Amino acid sequence: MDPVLIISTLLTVVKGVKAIAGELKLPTTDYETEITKLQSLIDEINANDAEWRKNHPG
Amino acid sequence: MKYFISLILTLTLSACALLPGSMRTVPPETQVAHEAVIVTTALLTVQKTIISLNEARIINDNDTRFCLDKILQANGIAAQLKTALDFWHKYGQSATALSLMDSFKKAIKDLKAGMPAAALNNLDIKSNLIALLNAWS
Repeated sequence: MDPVLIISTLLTVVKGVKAIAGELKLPTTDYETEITKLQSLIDEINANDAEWRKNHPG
Repeated sequence: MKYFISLILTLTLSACALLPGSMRTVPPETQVAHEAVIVTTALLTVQKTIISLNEARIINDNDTRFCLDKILQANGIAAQLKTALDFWHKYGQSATALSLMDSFKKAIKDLKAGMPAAALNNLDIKSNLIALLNAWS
C-alpha cells in the first residue's frame, strides 16, 4: 500500500464528488421552505404596490 | 493491496450512493419553486428600486405606475405558479406549472422591454433584470 497513492486517490474522489455536486446546483432546502419563501415574497410585492398606489392616487 | 482495493471500492460506492440519494431528495416541483424564489426575490428588488427612484424624482409617477403594473402582472403569475406548484406537490406533475413558468419568463421580458430609460440606467435595476433573465437561461 503506497500512502501517496491512497491520499491522491482520496483527493481525486473528493474533487469528483464536489464537481458533480456543483454541476447539479441542487437546492439544499425542502418544498415547504421554498413555497413559504415564495408566498412571503409575493405578499411583500403586493404590499409595496398597494402602499405606493395609496400615496400616489391617479 | 487487498485493503487498498477495498478502500477504493468503498469510496466509489459511497460517492455513487450519495449522488442519486441527493437527486431523490429534491423533487422537480421543489427545484421549480427554488427558481421561482430566485426570480421573485429579484422582482422585489426591482420594485423597491423603482419606488426609490420615484421618491428621488428620477422617474415620474406615470413611468413608475407603468413599471409597477408590469411588476404586479409578473407577481400575479408568480402567485398562480405557487398554486400550481402546490397542486403538483400534492397530486403529481403539472403541465400548468411548467406553462406558468414560461408566462413568468415572458412577463419578465416585457418588464425589461417596457422599462423607462431613466430607470434602466440605474445599476440596481440593470443588474437585477439581468439576474431575472439569467435565472431562466
